[in-house]
Amino acid sequence: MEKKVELLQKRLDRERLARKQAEIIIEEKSRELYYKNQELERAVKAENLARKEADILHEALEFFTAKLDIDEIASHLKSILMQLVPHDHSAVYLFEGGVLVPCGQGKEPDTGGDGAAACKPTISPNGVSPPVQPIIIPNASNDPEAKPWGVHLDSQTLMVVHLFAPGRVVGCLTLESREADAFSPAAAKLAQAIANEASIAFENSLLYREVERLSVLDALTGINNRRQFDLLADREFQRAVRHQLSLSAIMMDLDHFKLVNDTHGHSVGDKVLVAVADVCRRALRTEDILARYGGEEFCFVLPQTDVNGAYAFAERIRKDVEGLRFEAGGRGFTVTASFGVSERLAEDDSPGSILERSDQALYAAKGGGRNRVVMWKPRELRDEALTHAESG
Amino acid sequence: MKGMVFTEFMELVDEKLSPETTESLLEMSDLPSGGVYTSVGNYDPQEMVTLVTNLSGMTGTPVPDLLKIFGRHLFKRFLVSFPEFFEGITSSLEFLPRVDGYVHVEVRKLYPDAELPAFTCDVPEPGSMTMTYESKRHLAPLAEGLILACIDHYGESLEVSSETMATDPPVTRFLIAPKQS
Repeated sequence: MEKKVELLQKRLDRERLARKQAEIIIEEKSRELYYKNQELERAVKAENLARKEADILHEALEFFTAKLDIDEIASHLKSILMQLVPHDHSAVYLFEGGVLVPCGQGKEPDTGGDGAAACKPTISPNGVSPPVQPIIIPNASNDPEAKPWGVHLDSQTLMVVHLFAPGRVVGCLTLESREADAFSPAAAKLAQAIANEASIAFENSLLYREVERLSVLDALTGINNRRQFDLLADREFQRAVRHQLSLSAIMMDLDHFKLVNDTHGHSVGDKVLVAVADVCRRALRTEDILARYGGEEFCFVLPQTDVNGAYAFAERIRKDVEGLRFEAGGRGFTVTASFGVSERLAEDDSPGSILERSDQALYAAKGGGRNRVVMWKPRELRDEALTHAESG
Repeated sequence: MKGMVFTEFMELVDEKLSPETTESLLEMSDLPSGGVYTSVGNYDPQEMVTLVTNLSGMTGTPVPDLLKIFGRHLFKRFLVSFPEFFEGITSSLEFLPRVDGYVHVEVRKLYPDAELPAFTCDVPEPGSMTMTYESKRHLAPLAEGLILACIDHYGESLEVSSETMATDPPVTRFLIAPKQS
């Protein structure tokens, strides 16, 4: 019996020791597993982040290639950056005529400062060649270099990313953060990669806008061409008919313009046309339509304007044109213009009818001695015009 | 060597002989571990050699015979502990080829540091099989015990003969064939 107890005691002791051993081993193993698990979790996290970035980039790429609207591209660019490069404020600027102009959120920069439109930024459209690196300005609220970007008072770090399309800088992008050292080299690289994609889209849409603009504008004077005028005039005419509104048209022709060309050369003639177009453009209200109709011929369509109003309008322009001073070969000269004015009549079925009458009136103005405005009048005017045509 | 092999061995001695025999065996063997084994630990294989040799001395049973008995015991334990290895299997000739390609792969997942023997199977003619055993451990009789228990488990009329192919490192080939009547 005693032996049995002794045996059991021995076994119990061994069992205790074995259990202790097992506990230590299990603790070690579970610690090992814990670290392995943490490592795995970190790897999974990094992998997920990389995948998310790749997804967003992929989506961004698709969006950028599909869009031609500049504001849409800019706001999309900002929303992608908001997801991938943490920051507090952002702005997109594009070069327009050599000046950086904010876009994406209306026409004003979303900064609290003076705005960058009026500033002299540190980048120029032609001065940078690839590979371009984002400029990071720490301590942004005190750095004079950051000041032109109109950074927020509470911003600590500013990053300026070039929008670099092949061959030129189309603009730039600014990211501001309230944190110091907010942008790591990896973040800067990512921002640049996204900006590069956006840049191509910006470049495409700028080109598209330019082509669109050129197709409707007269190349010399920058006002509407004939084709665009026909389109716009028709639209206004339909509106006037629908709402029974008055609508007037003015035909304008420079007097003796052939003489200007012959005496001073065509380049001087071109300058005269540009100056006259400018005078006309300045006289317009927003809804008025102006176009270069032919060589030295211009025309206007004035919505909600009767023939008397149109007459006064034309008279004002006549005086302004007369007042223009030109110089060529050391000699000063002036030009004048003749105007024919008429308004929409109930029986008209197209703007062409009004223009035709204005043209008749213009003819009369020419016949009447030029540098004058003639208002179309039904019968007597036509007779007068006929007389002049026969004599002329 | 896995602690589980030691705990199983001691259980076998308890069962087939007596707890007193186990105690005398441990006392006599004077092992570095003190005979304290846990199934999750790893121990010097030399301790197993000492235990088996001493048990043979105590009982007069030759070491290979002891190992064969131990092999048979272990197979029964495997059936209980790892039923998934035997799922869908209907004969030993079907199971044995899976030891190297499937069972040992699964064992390694559980015990990455396990030192496992290598088995290669061949079918010289339908209804029989050769199984070549390679291990640093000199435990061919244990493998034979496992094979025999497997045949018994499926209630088959097969017999096992063995042939030593090499001694350093040891290679043994078992021939599993229908019993000659």
